[in-house]
Amino acid sequence: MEPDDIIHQSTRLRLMAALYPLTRNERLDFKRLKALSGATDGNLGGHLATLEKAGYVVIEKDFVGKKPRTRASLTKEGRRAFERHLDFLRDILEQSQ
Amino acid sequence: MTVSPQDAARALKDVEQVAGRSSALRNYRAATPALILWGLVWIVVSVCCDRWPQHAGLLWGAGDLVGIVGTTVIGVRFTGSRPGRWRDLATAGVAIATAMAAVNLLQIRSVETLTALVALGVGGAYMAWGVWRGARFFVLGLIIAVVSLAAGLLHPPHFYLWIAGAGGGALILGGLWLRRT
Repeated sequence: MEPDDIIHQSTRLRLMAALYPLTRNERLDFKRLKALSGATDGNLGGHLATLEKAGYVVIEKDFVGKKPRTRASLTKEGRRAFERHLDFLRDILEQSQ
Repeated sequence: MTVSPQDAARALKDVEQVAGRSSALRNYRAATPALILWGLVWIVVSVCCDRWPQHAGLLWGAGDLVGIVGTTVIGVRFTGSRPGRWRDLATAGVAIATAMAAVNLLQIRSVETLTALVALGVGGAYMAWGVWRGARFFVLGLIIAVVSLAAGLLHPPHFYLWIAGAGGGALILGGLWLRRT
């Protein structure tokens, strides 16, 4: 089993973990993602873009009234990749015991 | 890339914490509309019971029906149709049937005592839910339970308005509180 280099980076791992409990119709907005992942305004966009480029998340931009809103959700591929990466981490722990 | 067991353990702990917090926030957001709906039902029915206490049973039956249908609609809109949705309704059905059986077993004839008992049960259910799904549910349940118990024991004048304030008010305020997360 191999680690997923894109997911393993700590901020991206936390972003994936924050999005994982959501169901198919749900999204998390930028503000909540920032709070959950501990990312800064500056690097959150970059990490989300990396995950989007890998096909792991979908980013949607719209307006609520006049305020712009950015929301993200996991793709099926992202969910599977995250689960595979967690299996990989659990495997390492099991082998070390 | 090599990952040490210490790194793996740290990463898994991180995932567990973040996913847990995200899950709690999700539960709060999902619960908000249903809590406000039940709060409104509770207030309207209790105020009507204060005016027409002889029809309390009928009023609560109608209110419960509105609440259950509304909660189902809200649930489908929030999470979409999903397999196993029937389990939610079955759980509500089991809880209601058990409560009705317990009321008959205990031979409770006073509608006021019954109302306080139901309110206490709802408070207890929220507290139990809160143990698993987020501390705010627990606090909300505790407020409902304490006021319902006090109203049930002391039978103050305008008992139903106390219940309206305790149950309905706490649910609406709790819903708004959860929404702020």
